Amino acid sequence: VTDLFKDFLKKNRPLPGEAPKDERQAIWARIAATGETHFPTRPLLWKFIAAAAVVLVVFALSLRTLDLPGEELTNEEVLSESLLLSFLDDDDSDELYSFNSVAN
Amino acid sequence: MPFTSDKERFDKIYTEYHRMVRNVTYNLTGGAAVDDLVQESFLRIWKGLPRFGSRSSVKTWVYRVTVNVAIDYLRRTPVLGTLIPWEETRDHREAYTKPEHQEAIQLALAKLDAEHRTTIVLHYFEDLSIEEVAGVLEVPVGTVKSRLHNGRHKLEESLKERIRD
Repeated sequence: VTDLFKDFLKKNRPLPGEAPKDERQAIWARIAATGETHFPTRPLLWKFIAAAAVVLVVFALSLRTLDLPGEELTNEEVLSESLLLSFLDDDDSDELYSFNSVAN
Repeated sequence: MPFTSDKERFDKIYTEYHRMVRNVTYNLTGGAAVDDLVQESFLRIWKGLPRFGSRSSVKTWVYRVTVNVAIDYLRRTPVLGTLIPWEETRDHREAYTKPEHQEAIQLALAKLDAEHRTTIVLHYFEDLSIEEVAGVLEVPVGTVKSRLHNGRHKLEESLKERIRD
């Protein structure tokens, strides 16, 4: 009975008949009325632009890192470094002096 | 014309599916606003085309858009009040096996709620498999089977009454 009923439904399915001949034009007219006659920028394009921007930023940062000659020192650091150097120099001279004096 | 391919793609979809969109719309809404609803469906397809990925087939997506447009319409308009009487559309229906059966089915369909009607129309009239119907309606296969069973039962009861009368 169920199969007969299914067959009955399929054979007698209501059909609306042919579409109006100008249907395609009517649809385009409706699309034109919305003002969206062209596709907006596609999501894929946005994804591509975002990915390209990220790659560019990473690239620029890596270049900047490569260009740096070394860590820049603050004035205090420069001062303390030069003091340390002079101290080391003094140490050397002292040692030399004491060595010479012992030798003498 | 950088967007020609989009228009060509849309035209191809229209050529391939306009008959199907019309049939589904007609069977879900009763026919009073078919022309307008078909246009509305294709307008939504146009707007949705840039966002349409390959998550589902074009056919499934077009069915889904059409069903959604029809259901939106049904929420606004009670279908029983807008059914086109058989006599007014007779000249468009040469392919009918038995006109009185067509009309009986259409009226019986109109008594079903939107969920059962949509499932019956997609499976029996559009020949979609149960899995395809589930894909279009985004519901589990078991739900489709249950709706088909219940919908068919209600449809049979309604048709028996009508044909008996």
